[in-house]
Amino acid sequence: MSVLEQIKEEVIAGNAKNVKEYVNTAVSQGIDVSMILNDGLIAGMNVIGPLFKNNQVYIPEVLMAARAMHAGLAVIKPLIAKAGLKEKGLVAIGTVKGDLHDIGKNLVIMMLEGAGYKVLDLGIDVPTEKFVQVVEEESPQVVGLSALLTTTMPQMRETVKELKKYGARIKIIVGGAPITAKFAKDIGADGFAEDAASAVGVVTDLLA
Amino acid sequence: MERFHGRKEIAPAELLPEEFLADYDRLVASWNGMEDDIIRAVAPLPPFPWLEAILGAAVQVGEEAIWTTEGGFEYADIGSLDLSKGNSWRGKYLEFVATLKNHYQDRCPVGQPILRGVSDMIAALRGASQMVLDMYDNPGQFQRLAKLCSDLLIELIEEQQEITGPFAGGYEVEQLSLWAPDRIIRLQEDASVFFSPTLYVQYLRGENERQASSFPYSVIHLHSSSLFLLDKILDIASLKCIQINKDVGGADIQNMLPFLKMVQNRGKRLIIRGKLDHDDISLMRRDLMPEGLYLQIVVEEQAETAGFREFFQPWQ
Repeated sequence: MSVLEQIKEEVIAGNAKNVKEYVNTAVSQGIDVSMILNDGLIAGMNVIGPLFKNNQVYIPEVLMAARAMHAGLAVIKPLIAKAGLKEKGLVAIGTVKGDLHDIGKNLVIMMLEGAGYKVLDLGIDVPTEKFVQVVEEESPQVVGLSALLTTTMPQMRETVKELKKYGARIKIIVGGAPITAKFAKDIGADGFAEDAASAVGVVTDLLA
Repeated sequence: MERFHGRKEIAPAELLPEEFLADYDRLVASWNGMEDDIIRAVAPLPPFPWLEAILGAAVQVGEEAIWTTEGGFEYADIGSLDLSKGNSWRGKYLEFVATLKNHYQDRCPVGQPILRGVSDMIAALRGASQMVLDMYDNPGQFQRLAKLCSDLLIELIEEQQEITGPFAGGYEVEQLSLWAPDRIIRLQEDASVFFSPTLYVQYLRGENERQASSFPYSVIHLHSSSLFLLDKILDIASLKCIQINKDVGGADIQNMLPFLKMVQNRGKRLIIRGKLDHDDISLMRRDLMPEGLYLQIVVEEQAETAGFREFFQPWQ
């Protein structure tokens, strides 16, 4: 098994210590950093995502895999900058105002980072003004809104309405337990992610 | 609770049970026009995160919800947790129980409100993601904290029931308007959605078993998002009843049916609660046994109940 395959397998197994070791080995062997990233770390998360979507693994396995991927990412981060590699895109994501739930949002962040996107985590209970401020200051290509409570769905509508003023400059995706494709369409969102694993595909399609 | 809006933390001394009695009276008066056989209960501020507060989490009050600040608890502090009867939030909970009992006497029972489960308490203390990682990184500490949380829940319900005594010979779960002919405990593990079946068995099921077996009657509250754990939960022999929510945005009845049947086939009582429509009820009439089944149909307006009467015929 090549060192890249070992990195991938250890990410899938959620073994952060081994991932770090194998990434160090790969770096010392002079393997291109983009290969370590894409064929090792991201490749591992690309296996976990569909397994999670199909209920073959559960949230703990995803969390462990994401942590393992981050352990490897930390090793090559300086090399990524030096090599001039760019992230696939910038996504800003937060749970809308009045909603304090973060696990769904966090899972989406892990999946997006695992797929090579840079993600700005705006946290929970995020007011519309904060989303607008981030669009102005950070220029993300995609803004993600999460909600778990039916009572905060009107707030999601309100925030999307404000963000639509930026037109084609940003794409808006929404998700969360009570959110449906119909609701997403009704409020004018560009994309709807049924679950955390689907979010990567939705973002990729929107940026294609 | 409006006066607490926007505050970062409230103290037990600021909550006076007597100040809420007028609200409770309005609630109890509203039950008068209902033509049903349900025994409804009052309970200490049902949406209040009592257990998290007792564990030391800061309570905040918003316009729509009352919550505790998540995370921040360190295992090094387990030893200094004071969960004794001298804990001021524990005392405040029981003060509410005693005040309500004294006020309502035999007019209505004082039941168990929504008290969170072990996973919910630990998620509140550690944060949901960190809670999961703890099971891999600090399994011994996690188990120690889980036991403390479980003991707290059991003891609090026991103390409440000592204060109230029986109502019509039994005890009540307020959230479900569920009366049992002896002492009953309501369990929940909403944060078990972050577990895998393996981790549930390893870290939670033993606590749920201990809680259920501490009382003659027990019911566990589940959302459809946790049904992947149902098979493991049903292994708890002492657990008498399973209550499953049909949630907005959650699984529909068609997809829940295999799980609902599993509950009945394993010999447990089943309560289904949510906005059930006529199609849902037809499906359940076709596939479920009426014995031990309790449908709690949630409606927006009382007038909607008339439309359900045709379904309330004896099932074949």
